[in-house]
Amino acid sequence: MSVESDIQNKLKEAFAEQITEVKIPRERRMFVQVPLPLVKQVIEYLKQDLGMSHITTITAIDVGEDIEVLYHFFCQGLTLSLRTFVPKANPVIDTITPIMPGAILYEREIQGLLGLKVKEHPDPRRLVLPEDWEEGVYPLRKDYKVKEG
Amino acid sequence: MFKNLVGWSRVKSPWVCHLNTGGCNGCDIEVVAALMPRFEIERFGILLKGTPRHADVLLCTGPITKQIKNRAIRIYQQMPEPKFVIAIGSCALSGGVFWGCYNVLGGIDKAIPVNVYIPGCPPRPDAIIHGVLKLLGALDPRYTQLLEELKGRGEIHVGGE
Amino acid sequence: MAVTIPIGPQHPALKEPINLTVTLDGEQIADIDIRLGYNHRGIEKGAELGNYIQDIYLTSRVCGICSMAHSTTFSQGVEELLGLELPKRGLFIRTLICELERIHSHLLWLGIAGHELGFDTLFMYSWRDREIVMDLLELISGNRVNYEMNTIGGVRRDISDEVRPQILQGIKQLEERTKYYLEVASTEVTFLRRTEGVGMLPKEKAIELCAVGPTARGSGVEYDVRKHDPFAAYPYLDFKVITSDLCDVLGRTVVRVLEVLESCKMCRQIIEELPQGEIKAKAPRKVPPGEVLSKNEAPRGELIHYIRSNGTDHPERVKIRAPTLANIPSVIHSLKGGYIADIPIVFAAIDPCLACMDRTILLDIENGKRKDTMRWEELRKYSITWYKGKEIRNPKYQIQNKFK
Repeated sequence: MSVESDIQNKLKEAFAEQITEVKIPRERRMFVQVPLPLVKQVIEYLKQDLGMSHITTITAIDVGEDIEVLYHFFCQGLTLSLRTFVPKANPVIDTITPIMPGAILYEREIQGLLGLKVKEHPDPRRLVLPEDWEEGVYPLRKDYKVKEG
Repeated sequence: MFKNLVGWSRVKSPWVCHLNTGGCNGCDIEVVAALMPRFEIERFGILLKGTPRHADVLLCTGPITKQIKNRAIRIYQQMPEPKFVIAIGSCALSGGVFWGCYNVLGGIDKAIPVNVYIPGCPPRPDAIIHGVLKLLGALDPRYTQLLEELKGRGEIHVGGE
Repeated sequence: MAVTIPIGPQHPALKEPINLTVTLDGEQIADIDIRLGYNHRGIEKGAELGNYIQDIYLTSRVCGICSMAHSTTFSQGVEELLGLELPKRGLFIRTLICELERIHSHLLWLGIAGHELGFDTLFMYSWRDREIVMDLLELISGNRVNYEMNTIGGVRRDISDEVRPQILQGIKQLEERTKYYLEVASTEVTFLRRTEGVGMLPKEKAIELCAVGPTARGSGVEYDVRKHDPFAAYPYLDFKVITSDLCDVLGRTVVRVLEVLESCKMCRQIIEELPQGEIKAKAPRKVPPGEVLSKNEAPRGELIHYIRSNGTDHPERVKIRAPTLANIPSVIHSLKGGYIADIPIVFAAIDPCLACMDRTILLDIENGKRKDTMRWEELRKYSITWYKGKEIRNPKYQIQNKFK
């Protein structure tokens, strides 16, 4: 049994119906979709029970009504991406730094670039945008148009 | 007479300060390679100094990002007169590959006045030496002679001139 | 009383703009804060404006030193979205350039490390030897930096048979010189004194803070994308993952130098086993909708590109996470408790690939007051008290007392 299907079965056992979707496009890649309130629990499970202690990065994409957030983890050669959707009307997610201290800078990055509010982040300052950048303008949202010239 | 002495020393041994305004470092490593034993810009008396307060020439690379614009202006103001700025690389000229990106101003001359532009992505160390010597040649014709000598010896290859 | 000093964005020890705000207690670092963003050019948004071919050139200029790593990761990702099967020769040539780039980057780092330590001779020697690699790269690709060898579907230039013996000769020279550097790193007393025990990063902390690359491997964490998530021609190559249990700057140095030797071995194997055939596969311009996660081992660590396509010839989203961002929390941890003189080498030890001289700010913690300068008398008094507290006596005063 391959590592991917092994993990898929373990997740099914632990979370049953709550997991929306599991995709395995090829070896060493897995995409798991979960609803927003379940994210922290799943990450805790991945770290404690499956030993996924390495977070590679956090990606956020503007998909119209929502913002899609992907957490990418790595363990035993497999890269697992945890997907969830956050409504733009209320773009708030919980911080995962108590479980994964290595995620501290990635959360700051998505705060500034896409406008996600990370609750209880230990250090919610700007990361990459300049000091005189306007508040409320998020460059990686689709409605931000780059000025020509 | 004192003015002549100062002028002579400034041209004979210009001290440079290197500033990276947010580039990809390609040009920066070619600037440092120009100081290394293979290309050896130090034999012309050019010394790399850490601080702009001691420098005559500012070697600037990178497309100016909005974040570093004020610092770059401040560094330019800290240099004592007369001062020269050399913009190295396509990004420093016009933004290069990053033209149109939201955090990039597009060229160093949007923030500080530039005397010499050296194109390339990145320009070879020979091209950097060529540019620096051309700048010095404008101040002292002996440098133009030196440049011709280097070209004759094959140390600097210039195409299309 | 703590003193806060800003270092950067323009500083002789830093080749790229970054701002470190260091809070000092005497000479020891109590706290350190990093301000990024000077190098932020908005590349991820810029990638959405161009098409896939233009984005190869954009991503290879994310960093000049690891440009091949970025463009390889991007091309690999797009090829996976297209479902392309690459010819073996193309994969081998791509891997050869990646390994030559790793050699050039590590030798560059060795020189910069020597420079930060004040060991300029090492700086000059290693950059002179690096010219061997730059010549090889120019021979193969036409440029010393930013060699645009990648295209969607393979590589753009082939390696002819006349060039192969020259490459092998160059690699042989590099191996001899690198063995010399290994000796310097392990026996030269001044080098050892400044790198041993400096910038400690224990293994558990490296795992917790998700460090990558030689920074993590220098602390005993065995994670190398080439072995654990192979791509390009790595499944066909024979190499070891180098780790060191020293957990300090010396460990990271040794890991990098040994990696240069491994890369030389790999390059030799690639040239000797280079298969015949095409160098690229035909690729359509429009990419079907999908998403892909592409990983690579850049010289600095694990590099990841997440690409999402929407059926047109422009990507929907490109997310790039460079290895240095992953190493920043580790460098902050390893600097705390160290000395200010060690900041350049410890910061350089993660091999930062990123890119202001304020005045000193004085914070009087008890009174909450802030002054903008410290007068000479105050500074002298403060330093004497601090050193007395550390029981370090000024030898000059000792000698004077002896002769009184």
